[in-house]
Amino acid sequence: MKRFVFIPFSLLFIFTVFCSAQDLNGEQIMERALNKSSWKDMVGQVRLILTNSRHEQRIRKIKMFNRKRNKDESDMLMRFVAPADVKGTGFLIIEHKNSDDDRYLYLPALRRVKRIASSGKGGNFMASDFTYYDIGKPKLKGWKYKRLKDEKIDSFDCYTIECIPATAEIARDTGYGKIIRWIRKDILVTIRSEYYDRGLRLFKKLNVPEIQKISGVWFQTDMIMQDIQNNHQSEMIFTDIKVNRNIPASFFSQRYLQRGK
Amino acid sequence: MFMRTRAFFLLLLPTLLFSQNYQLGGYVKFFAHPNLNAPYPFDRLGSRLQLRLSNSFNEHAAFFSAIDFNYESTASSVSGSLSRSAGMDIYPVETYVDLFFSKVDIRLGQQFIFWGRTDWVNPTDNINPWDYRNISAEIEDYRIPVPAAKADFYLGNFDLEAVWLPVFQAHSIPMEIPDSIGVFKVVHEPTRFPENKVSNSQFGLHLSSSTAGIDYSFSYFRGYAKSPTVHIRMNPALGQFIEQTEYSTLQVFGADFVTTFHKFAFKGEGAYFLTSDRNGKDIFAENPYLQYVLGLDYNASNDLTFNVQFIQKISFQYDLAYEKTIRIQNHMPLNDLPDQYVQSASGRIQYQLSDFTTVQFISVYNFKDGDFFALPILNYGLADGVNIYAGGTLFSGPKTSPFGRSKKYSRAFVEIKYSF
Repeated sequence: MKRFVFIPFSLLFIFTVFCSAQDLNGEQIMERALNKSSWKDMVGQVRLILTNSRHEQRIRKIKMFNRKRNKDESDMLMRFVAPADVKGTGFLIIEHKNSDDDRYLYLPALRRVKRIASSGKGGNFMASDFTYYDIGKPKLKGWKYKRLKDEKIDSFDCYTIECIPATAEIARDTGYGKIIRWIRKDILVTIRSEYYDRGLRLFKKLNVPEIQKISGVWFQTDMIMQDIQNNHQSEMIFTDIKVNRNIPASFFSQRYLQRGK
Repeated sequence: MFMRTRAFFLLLLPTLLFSQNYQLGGYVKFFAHPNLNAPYPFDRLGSRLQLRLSNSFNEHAAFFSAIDFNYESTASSVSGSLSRSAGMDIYPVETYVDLFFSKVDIRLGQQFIFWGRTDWVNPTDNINPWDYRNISAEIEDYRIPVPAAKADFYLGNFDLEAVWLPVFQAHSIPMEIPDSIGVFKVVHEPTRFPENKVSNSQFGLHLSSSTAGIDYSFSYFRGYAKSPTVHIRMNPALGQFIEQTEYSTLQVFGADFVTTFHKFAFKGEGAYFLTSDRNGKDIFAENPYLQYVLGLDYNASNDLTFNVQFIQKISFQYDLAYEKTIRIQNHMPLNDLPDQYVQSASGRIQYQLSDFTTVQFISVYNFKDGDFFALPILNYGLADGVNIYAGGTLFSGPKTSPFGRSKKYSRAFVEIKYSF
């Protein structure tokens, strides 16, 4: 008798979950994707491979430290490890929700920290095809979401979400007129994106060939961004990722930025 | 003495190389700096190996040493500095020990300490002298390291830097003092440097903070002017001029700020220089003066950045009639009388020409004489760690103007650098 009661309840639960997933709109999916369990701070090595239209490559190795101050703001300190001519160069970003980020650059050749003007979220990150917007956690607010037809990408069921900037200012700041994201249904991680410029021409394509679960957190550990318009490509490969190391707030300061040898 | 220094470094190197946890890096560079005035001699031609050694002993101590091994095939008399002369030369760029505590960082040794937030012209930057004869693509070539003790105190939102400089080092400036003025001979007395003693030490304080998105700092420097004062006096009994070059005491009270707004950075820096000629009665010495710089950076795009600056120098205790009278009494020319107000402008444009090629153009222009200094630099990244620099240091203007006087030091440069 118990078995007969259990089966209908299980079916009901699965049906409810299925229906709720089916009923989710674009914004709800994005909200779930952005608010899934995450990390407080993170340390990792990044291998940044830049490939130009003539297939010439430059490889940068960067040590990256990241800390979330709160839900909407984070601090990031990066230090070049290789090649030798840029080794020791450091970059500090203090993100602000309601104003421009504070950005500081330490150039070992100049032996001083320089506060630099923001190039907006649409500025290129370390001369790559990734922008600061691309590498940061997307903000839910400020965008309009539309759920498109679900698709299968590399055998994974994905939600397809169209993201349109809600204001002209956000479009101008990010440089994007539209983004389409493919988000894996099982782990709510973006594995492919298409970025359109403000004239709605296809601008860049992001592919995420590798995702790893580290200390219970899913990370996109290999990201390939192709600039379709300029025939460029940048690949970021993350290694040695460690999360929740309790990096002190004081680490994200000019003091540690210049202690970069 | 110098040989002993060399031997010390050569002995030190293998010891460091075989120690644990060291990091060895550096670069090899070829350089050619042809002068741009006929007959176009090579001011500098040679190659350099720079070895950089560093190590850190847990979180509390570290050392860094960068030593140049220069071989210069030539160094012409007009541009060769004392430290970088023709032939083989070992030049200790920086060698220091760092000590880290929870609220204090200490650095002891030969080092660079740069203050100020504006570009190229920094009134508050008075620690490391310049080598004005050797301006090129790399800061290490034209700034002179100094032995110093530096302590940085981190006091909440304030950072206080204290610097002690036990010995004085002057700018390396192209100076030409004539052997005669009119029909009168000029006799040169030996240059007077501040005596090497503890009571002649220089020191500086620099307090910086940040409030409401504005970074700012205040600074104080007490020491000696790095540019000399040249006294020329007439000896009527002998019928000749006596020239005496010396370095005078100086105090500098400075402040600077920078803030950003979208793609703009607004910056300013100024300092009041309290020179030894406080009442302006010594016509050869510089009067007390204020120099300030107001600047704007603009990121036009990912590839293009601009900086423009306005610079003004205002002399105090200035009395033109007095200056003229004394000069006439001393049979001195009147064509290079100092101005009370001197205005200049500077600019920098940086453009990413292609994926691996950057061009930069820096210039300083004086409004009064229309003289200028320009530094165009092209940098091509041939491969990871391999860079080619080409450019020039160009001086132009009337012969009596500040940059016009340096015209003969105009030169091009080509450098190929492999970093490892």
